Amino acid sequence: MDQRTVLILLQFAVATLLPALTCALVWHLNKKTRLGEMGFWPKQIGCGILFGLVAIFGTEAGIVTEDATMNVRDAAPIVAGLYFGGPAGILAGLIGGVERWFAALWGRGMFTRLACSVATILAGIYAALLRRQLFRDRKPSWPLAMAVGVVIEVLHLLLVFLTNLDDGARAYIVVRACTYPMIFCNAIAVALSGAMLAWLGGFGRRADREAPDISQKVQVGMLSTVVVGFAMTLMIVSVLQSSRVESRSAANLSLVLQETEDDIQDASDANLLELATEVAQEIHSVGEARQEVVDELVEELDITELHVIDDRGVIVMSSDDAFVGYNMALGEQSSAFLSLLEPGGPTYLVQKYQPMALNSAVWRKYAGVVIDGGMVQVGYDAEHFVGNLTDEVRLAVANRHVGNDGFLVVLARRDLLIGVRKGIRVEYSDVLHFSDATSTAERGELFELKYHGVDYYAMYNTTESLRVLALMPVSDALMERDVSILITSFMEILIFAALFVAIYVLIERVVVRSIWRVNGRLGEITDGDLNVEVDVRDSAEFAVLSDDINTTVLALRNAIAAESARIESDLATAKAIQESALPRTFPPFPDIKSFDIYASMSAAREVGGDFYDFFLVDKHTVCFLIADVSGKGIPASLFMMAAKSELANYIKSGMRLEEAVQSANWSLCQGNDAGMFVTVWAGILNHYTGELTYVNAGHNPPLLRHNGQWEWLKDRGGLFLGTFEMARYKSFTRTLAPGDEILLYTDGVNEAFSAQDEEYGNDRLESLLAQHVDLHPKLLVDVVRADVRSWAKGAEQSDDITMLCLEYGRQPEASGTFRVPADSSGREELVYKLHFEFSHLRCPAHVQAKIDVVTKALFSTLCAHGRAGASGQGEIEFNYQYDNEPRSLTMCLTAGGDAFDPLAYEQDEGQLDQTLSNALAYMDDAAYVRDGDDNVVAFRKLW
Amino acid sequence: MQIKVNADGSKATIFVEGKLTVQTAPDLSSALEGIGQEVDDLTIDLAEVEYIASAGLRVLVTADKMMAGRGGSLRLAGPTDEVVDVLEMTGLLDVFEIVR
Repeated sequence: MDQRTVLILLQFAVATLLPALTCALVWHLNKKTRLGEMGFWPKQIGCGILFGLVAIFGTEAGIVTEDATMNVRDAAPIVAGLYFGGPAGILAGLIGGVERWFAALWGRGMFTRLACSVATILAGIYAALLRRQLFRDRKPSWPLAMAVGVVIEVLHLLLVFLTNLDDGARAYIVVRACTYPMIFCNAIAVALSGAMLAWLGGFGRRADREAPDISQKVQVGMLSTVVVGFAMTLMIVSVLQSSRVESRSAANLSLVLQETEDDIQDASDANLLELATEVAQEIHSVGEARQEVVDELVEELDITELHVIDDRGVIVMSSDDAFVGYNMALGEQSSAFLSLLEPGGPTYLVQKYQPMALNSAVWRKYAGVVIDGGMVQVGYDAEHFVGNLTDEVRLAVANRHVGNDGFLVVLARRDLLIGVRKGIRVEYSDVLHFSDATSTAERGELFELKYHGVDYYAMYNTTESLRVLALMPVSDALMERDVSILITSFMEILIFAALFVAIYVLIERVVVRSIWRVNGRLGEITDGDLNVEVDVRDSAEFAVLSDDINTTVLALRNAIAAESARIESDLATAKAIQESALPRTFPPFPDIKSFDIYASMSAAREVGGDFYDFFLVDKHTVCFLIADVSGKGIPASLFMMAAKSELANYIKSGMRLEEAVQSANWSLCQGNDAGMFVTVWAGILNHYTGELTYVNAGHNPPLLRHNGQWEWLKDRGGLFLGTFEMARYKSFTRTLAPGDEILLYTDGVNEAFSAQDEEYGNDRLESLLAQHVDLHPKLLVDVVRADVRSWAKGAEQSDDITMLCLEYGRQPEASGTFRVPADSSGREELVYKLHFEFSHLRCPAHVQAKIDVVTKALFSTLCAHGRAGASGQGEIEFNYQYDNEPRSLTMCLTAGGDAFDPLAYEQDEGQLDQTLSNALAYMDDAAYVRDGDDNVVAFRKLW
Repeated sequence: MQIKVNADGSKATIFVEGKLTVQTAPDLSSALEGIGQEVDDLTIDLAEVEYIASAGLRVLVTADKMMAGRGGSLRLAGPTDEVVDVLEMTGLLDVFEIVR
């Protein structure tokens, strides 16, 4: 390799690498510098200008051959368009194309100026369109990018042909020189850029995509198919074209030979006819013909034979006596002349050079002209007319071309050349070479001949004794084939590229988009929305698919609905069973007036594990407890039932509380493979003495109101139950005063979350209770639950809200009825019973005193009138109703007798006892009704 | 809630972040089941746990029993005050080995 070659290769290598390096630069600027924050258009314009400069470098670094520039220019706009955006590609193409137009002014080739400029501009536009329509703004893989490069270069080279149709041979030479290097370098430049960007874009990305998507598969598959298809058609075209090269050359050569023969024949015919006519003028009549004239003419005109033939067709006189008396009708060749003797027939005839009738070994050319009483016939042999024809033949072949560089050779004898194209140098040895070639080859058949080191297709023919040899360089014939293959293959590449795009877009439209739509809907279904319908109806197949999916989803939906209905009903039953296991009757112990107890559980949606319980252990002790089983659902509720019964059984057995809890723990640990556990707070209250014993097994500390102040009962008695078999528990004791109230709860209360995800918390509970120091158990529970609910409003209730409240010294809401005789003994009895009943109600002494006064006074009044009445009976009925909310006593006295309203008595008689009057004023309400034959007086006291 | 497991031979640490509720406790459960039989020195990092419900405690107890069952040990690392309160209330503070 000389220095120039190395330099050229180096130039090409740099121009090929430059687009990839520019890609790396742009990538770096975009990702690693502040330039990446620019908007879309500034980036596109910057990119376009940069790649436009790369295209210009491609032009200027190109190699000028045959007034055209071999270059790597188109790669830049392709890369810009494919990888950085349509506008960038179009701008780069424009810059590169316009510069190429002007570059012709400083010698970058005028011949391909138009083709090159247009191709570069088209490259940018084409890449931009592909990016948008085919790749959908995704970066194509490098093989596809490479294919794009090939297609653009093919288009470029085809444009060279199309813009130079008037000089196809030159265009062919340019294209032949440029095809491989330009297609190769541009395609490699684009492919390298694609690979560079894929590499920069990250290695990891390929790994997270396990399978390529359909469009990629189609692209790769179609690319391979198209490449194979192209290769095959190219092969077929090559074979077909090659096989036709010889036949086409043969046809060409024989055509040229034919024309030349015709020329020579015509000249020869004209020559002989002229001689014959001259003879006919001399011998104008058969009757007057004389032998001396004949001989003289033969001599003078240098002809071989001269015959005078009479009107019967018999030679009557001849230059050769042997012919005299010969009947022309006897030979095929000679009989042709008989047509001249017919009346009205032609007046002359020239025959081709051919074997004579008398002796077929001898070739002659004859001409006959009519004269009076017959005709004259002139015969000529080769040696005679070659001499006469030489000038004409020479002229006929001197300017005749065969193909571009072929020529004709006319040989008269083995060593005598009489005509060849002007400018062809023929040595004597060449003449012999041609002669020998023609003598070995068949006349009119194609054969190959080497002449001055060049291969020629050759064919010869003989005419008028001359051998005419036509020669055409094999390369001329092959060029024709190559041009045709080149153009065919270029067209094929373009057609295949167009097909590729068309089929791809079609598949994308018909299949891929529909698949994505189906997929999108399926995604929604997978995410749990079974009401989604798939409705892709672009084609029958997708309509069927949509219907099938919808049917499946519907079936699934129904199955799930049926199943969940079954589960729901099971869970509802479980919940009902669980809830029914909790005591729900209030007051639970109507006979016990020394405390009031209330509990409630509002279960979350699911069955949960909270429970409470209370029961009498013996006459004066009541046990109350609250518990929370870890977890939810059926397992938790089953464990809860077990825990509840274990605790109740052990506590009821009379053992000390801590022992009972310890035993229950041991029992619950047995076979607790699921690792469930339960936190428990249990207390035993002696409701005579107010002594409370309690154990806290890992439960939330309860709140105790003592002397109007809420406090936490933080004593811990041990671990939760069900986990540690050997756990020990400790009990604590405390004496409650009347009016003390204790609130047990589970974490559903203090750990309720608001919609803002804030916990309710112990502090909030404490301050809520601080506002309510005088609520009886039911109301307190209701107030707390309402507050927790309003806190958690908008959030799903995640846990059971369970509370148990016990107020010591408060009678549960109660009522009573007793009848006493309507006399003074009855009055004393009534007061005694009243005191006994109300002693549990924490009725303040002064209230009790006023009630006593009102009751006694009304009793006496009713007795007096009752007795006075006709229907006076001996009994008075007393009813009372104790309500906790508002805390009040409603009392009612019913007595028979005449209608009499003791409350109105004052107005009528002015005699109502002053004490009664004062006491009544102290009551909150008082009323009289006449009920049948009875007088009913009711009064109410709140406190 | 987020759970990350670092296992190295017989040592393993489970990092828990968020709320250990009845809904999220099963995730910690499966993380526990996921650690290998060879692990006998388990740390559950509770530094990022802002709330623990009884279901979460149950998983911790299960983990403790699992470790005890194979002669290993369980540590609770860096529990927040909220978690410590719950552990204290339930009496578990004395049961677990706690590393502050």
